[in-house]
Amino acid sequence: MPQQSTLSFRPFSPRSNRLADKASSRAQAPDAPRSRDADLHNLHSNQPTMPAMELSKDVPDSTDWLPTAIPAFSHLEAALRCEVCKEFYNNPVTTSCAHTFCSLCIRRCISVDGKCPSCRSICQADKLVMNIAIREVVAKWQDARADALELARDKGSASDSGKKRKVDDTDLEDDKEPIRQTRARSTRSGRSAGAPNPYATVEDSGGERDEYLPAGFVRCPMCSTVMKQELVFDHVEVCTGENTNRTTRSSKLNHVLKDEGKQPHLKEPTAPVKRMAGLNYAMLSEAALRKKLKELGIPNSGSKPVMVRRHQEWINIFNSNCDAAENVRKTERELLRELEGWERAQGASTATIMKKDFDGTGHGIAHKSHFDKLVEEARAKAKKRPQSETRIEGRPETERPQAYKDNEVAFLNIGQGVEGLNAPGGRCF
Amino acid sequence: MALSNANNGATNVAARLQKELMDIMTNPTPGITAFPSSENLTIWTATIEGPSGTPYEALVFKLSFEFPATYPYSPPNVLFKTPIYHPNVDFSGRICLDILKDKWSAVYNIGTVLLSLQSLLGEPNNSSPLNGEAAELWDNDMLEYKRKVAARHKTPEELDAA
Repeated sequence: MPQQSTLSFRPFSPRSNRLADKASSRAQAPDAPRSRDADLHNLHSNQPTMPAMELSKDVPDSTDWLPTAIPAFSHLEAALRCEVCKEFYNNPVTTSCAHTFCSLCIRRCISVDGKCPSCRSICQADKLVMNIAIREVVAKWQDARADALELARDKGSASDSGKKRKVDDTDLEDDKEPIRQTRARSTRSGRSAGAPNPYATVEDSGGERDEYLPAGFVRCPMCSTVMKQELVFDHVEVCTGENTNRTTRSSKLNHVLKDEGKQPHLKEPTAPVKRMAGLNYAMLSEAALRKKLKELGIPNSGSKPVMVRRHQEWINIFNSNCDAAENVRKTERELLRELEGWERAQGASTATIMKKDFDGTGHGIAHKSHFDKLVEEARAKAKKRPQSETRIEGRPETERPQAYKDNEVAFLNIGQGVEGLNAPGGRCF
Repeated sequence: MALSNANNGATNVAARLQKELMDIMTNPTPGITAFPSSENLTIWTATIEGPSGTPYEALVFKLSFEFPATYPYSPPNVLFKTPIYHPNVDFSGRICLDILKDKWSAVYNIGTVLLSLQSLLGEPNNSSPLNGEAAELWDNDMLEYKRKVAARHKTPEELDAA
């Protein structure tokens, strides 16, 4: 990272989504002792650049909060992240030893050694229970995060004195769209201007910008009816602009709010999805396992260990999907694609299947023109070489190795071509 | 939810290593550094300082980390690049440490591994040594042990020159 070597202060750029930018701006954060950073640069001065393949991706993580006005939020956010994957809990489940992980993460751990990664006590996949409260907290936190982070960053760079102070309304009014405003406000606790409890009454006193609207809801600019954000554009097309009367407006909003609050509790107990049971692989022959995989509709190629690993992963993916909230549950096709992605990422360990299933003649036909071109090139070179070679040394033995040399160029080119085609979607990462 | 697809195989290892890098750079631990190689994020170089009050005091050791596609469900492959005289490290730098083998847990990370290695320097496990001579000297002849440690050690500059 070339930027790192400078120790000058870089202002935080809230919109920057490059890892390098993030890292260097954070490395200058007041919390990080500079001498350590300097050491790090010196030690790795011979390898100053970041792996190029990774730079384009944004990595939101708990350290985003460190340079802001609320560094304590980094601990809060770390607590909302899975210890295995370091991402926000995705379909969180709790083990019998009371530790919480993403459903897929803990299931994978259990298939490796059958133990809880946190306390190493024995763990069973069928003892896992969903943690709905954490799931809700994480989802709501993710909704609020971007706005909260922006606000915290603005505060952090504007004034140090405002560190603990509650945000004024005037700060919110500054050229921000109303929807963002209301969302940011809904994240604050104990706000009581106008409506002490927004779920009970909605004051409709003309000042539209002060009104509470749940996240994702907006008012139609013409008739002021409250509706979901994604519906408003369709609505505007047909809106007559007629202002519905005050009582219906607030009662509609109340209805909407009531729905929002209640839905999760009403929904959960319904539709228990059947989780898949594991297999006793030792008792199954290779042929029987192959048949079983076919019945399940997942690829059944490869040796027995490969199939065992694939089946385990399939159970993990499938069962973790059962731990998802009903409205975000994936279809079987999406799960199959995930299995495919996993298999590709395993790379070397499953490469044997690819070799076995490689259609040599098909590949030859498809790339005949490419091969022909290579052969031509090799021949042209073979004609050129001997002349220049004999000028330097007239030994007859050089002729035979020379022929091999030209083939080597051709082999190399072909090898590269095949390799490029074999890697689906290019690089693994 | 944009983050819900983060568990998709191919991005798993890279995403987690990026987070670890962020964590190490923003919360550096004294005596420990780690950084990925310039072309491959799954290969890292790390250093640990010998803990004070041990024969390794004031010495710096370079290590290499190689992360498998199954990380963090399987442990990284860790080697000492700096020659080190220690009961649980052999002469090619291979390490005998339970948390890098059967006691590995998915919640461990680069930082915790480096800290464990640092404490292993001061508290070798002499019941299952890779270097029997070192284990014996540690128990019986500390002066000779210290001499051997100093004789075997190379500074990072000497390593780069070689």
